[in-house]
Amino acid sequence: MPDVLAHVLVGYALGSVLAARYDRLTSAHVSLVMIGALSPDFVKIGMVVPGPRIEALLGIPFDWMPLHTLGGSALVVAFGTLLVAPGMRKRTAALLAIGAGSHLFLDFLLLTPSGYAYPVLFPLTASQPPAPNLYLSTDRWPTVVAAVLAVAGWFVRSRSLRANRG
Amino acid sequence: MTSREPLGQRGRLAAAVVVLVALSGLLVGYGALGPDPTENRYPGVETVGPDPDGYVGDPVVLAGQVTDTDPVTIRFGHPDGTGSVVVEGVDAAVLNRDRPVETGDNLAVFGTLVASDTLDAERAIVREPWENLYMYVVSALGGFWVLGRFLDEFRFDRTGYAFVPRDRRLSKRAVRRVLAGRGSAPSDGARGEPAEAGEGGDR
Repeated sequence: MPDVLAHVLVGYALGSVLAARYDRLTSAHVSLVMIGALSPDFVKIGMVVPGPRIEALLGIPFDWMPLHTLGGSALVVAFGTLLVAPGMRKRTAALLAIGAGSHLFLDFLLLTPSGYAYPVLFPLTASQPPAPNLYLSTDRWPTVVAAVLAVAGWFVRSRSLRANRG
Repeated sequence: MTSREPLGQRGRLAAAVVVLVALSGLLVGYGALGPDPTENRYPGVETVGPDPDGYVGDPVVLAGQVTDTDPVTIRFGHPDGTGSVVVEGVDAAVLNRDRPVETGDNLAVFGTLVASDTLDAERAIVREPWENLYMYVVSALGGFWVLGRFLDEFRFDRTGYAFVPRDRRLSKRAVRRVLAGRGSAPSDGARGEPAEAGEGGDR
């Protein structure tokens, strides 16, 4: 989807539903889905340190774009997984990947000037597929929908927590 | 939660280096790709801006702020300075608004560069200045929410050099302190915040 908040809300909703379904998952695990859902937007680092500036500095080609693609996102998830304790790595990898996947999918749907999406599958292919052109990153309604999903996720999870306690 | 590193800390470090090298490879590799319309990858302002003459006749995507509406002109920054183009046929090309383009709007246009300073619009997206501001504010909100939750629910385990979930959650107040840059998150053993009167701004 559009803004970081919408992505994170969707991550919260997904994480909450998973936590409601699998008792072993805690709110820390919900956070991991949210971090994953945010992670492709690490590409926004380019707004602070533009790719061309790094090219000029290092004298080699450079573009932050792959952070917001299948391959780059997978590597970011792998790196994040290495930062947590060994006992929780499998679960962490899965939860981060679910979040990151939701982000990449929702951004694939964006309306773009050229009518083509970002290079979703890089480095498998750098080709940019036709975009469904559903919404803009500045549209408000996707964020509202994401918020409704998040509230629903919270509701589902708190009901399951109550059921476990009772 | 402190199970053994399967490959030892050295193996783990090596794995992290491999991942980062692979990621750098992707960033450099993608940077080496030029525009290629057969892959639907069109040059943008950072490519066209410094050398508009080199792209006359080509499909491009240019985005910038509208500085004039008669004719519609956008200005944009690029690595070598700023540039501007007149955008022809923009009102018919705009996909997301019914009203004419106004000065101050942010305009992203896909079209053909018919001259070094003229773009024939095919598709365009308009954003009002506040919409970008809105997106930044809301995005920052999302970022801080996640950061807050992370600090609240995880701690850095210094024996395993790894993040592990906290056994007990930090007090809301301690999270605020960390976010405000005062002090670091207490580890599990430490008590949260001694509730001293006069400290903190929340009363």
